[in-house]
Amino acid sequence: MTEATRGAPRTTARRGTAAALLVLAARLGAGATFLWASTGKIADPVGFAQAVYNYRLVPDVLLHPFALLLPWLEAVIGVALLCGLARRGASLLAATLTVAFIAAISAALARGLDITCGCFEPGNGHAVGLGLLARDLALLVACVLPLRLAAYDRFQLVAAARRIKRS
Amino acid sequence: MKNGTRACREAGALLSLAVVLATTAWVARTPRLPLRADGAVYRLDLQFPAITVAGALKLYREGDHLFVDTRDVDADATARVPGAFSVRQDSFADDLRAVRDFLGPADCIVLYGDNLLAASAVASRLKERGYTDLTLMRGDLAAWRSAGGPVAHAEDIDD
Repeated sequence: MTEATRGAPRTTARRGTAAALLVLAARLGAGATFLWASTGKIADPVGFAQAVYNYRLVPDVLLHPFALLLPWLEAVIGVALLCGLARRGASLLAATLTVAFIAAISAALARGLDITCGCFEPGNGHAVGLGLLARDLALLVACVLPLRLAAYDRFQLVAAARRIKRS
Repeated sequence: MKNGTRACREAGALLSLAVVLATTAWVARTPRLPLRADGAVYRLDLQFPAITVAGALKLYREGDHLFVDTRDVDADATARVPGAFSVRQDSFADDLRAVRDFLGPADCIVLYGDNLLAASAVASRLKERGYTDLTLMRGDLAAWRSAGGPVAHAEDIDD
């Protein structure tokens, strides 16, 4: 065995650890963001309904059901990503929602609406703008990573609990 | 393919859980938000252009707009946007009479208050009196302060 071939598995293992840490950081970051985003909306459904209405994309008949459901969906996604439960499904939902948010923000920008995003605090959020779009694109990357690199996602609460139970 | 199916199945389960939680929270909460929204409630503020706090701050710095404080408080004794005139819904006629010499129908006016609906109510009454350039600020004085907007305190106002 040459020096080069002996070093190869070590390099692969190092890359695997780096990928695992990257996936973990992305999953925890996205999870915390979704969970944090849900709390203000759950506390103020009327304010959030107003924020959704301001985008003028959701018809009146769906406005309240949407304003009531979305925060809880974000909370469930956030907890699932943080704990590593149903992480593929949570990443898929998180990525889908983020694409929808990007589309809504782009539509508002295209129509020149001067509104707040309603992302975290329904009443006093960030103004819709290119900075917000960039932030959501970064969130999309964080949501897609755990889905694309699921094989590297070794740190899960359920698996850890099982290991502790077995030992 | 197998992973894709699993992801979809998990997503369906999480979505169902969110529906259950949202329904439970809606049932437990009083007053309960009606499932069918009355669009007029949300459209009310859109009779007038509504701008963000950052947008209002930009107009303030440009100096062409006058600010109106619609909060139902003794605005002379509390903090407010420097130079803002107090015109409240409950004492609208008296407040407007007091500031009429400085706040004319041709002026460009930005209104703010505890919430958008309160500011909108005062804007509607100003519109009835012939004021035409009325804009609402989304966000209250705390949001204005958080965005770096200047605030005049009671002692500054007295001076």
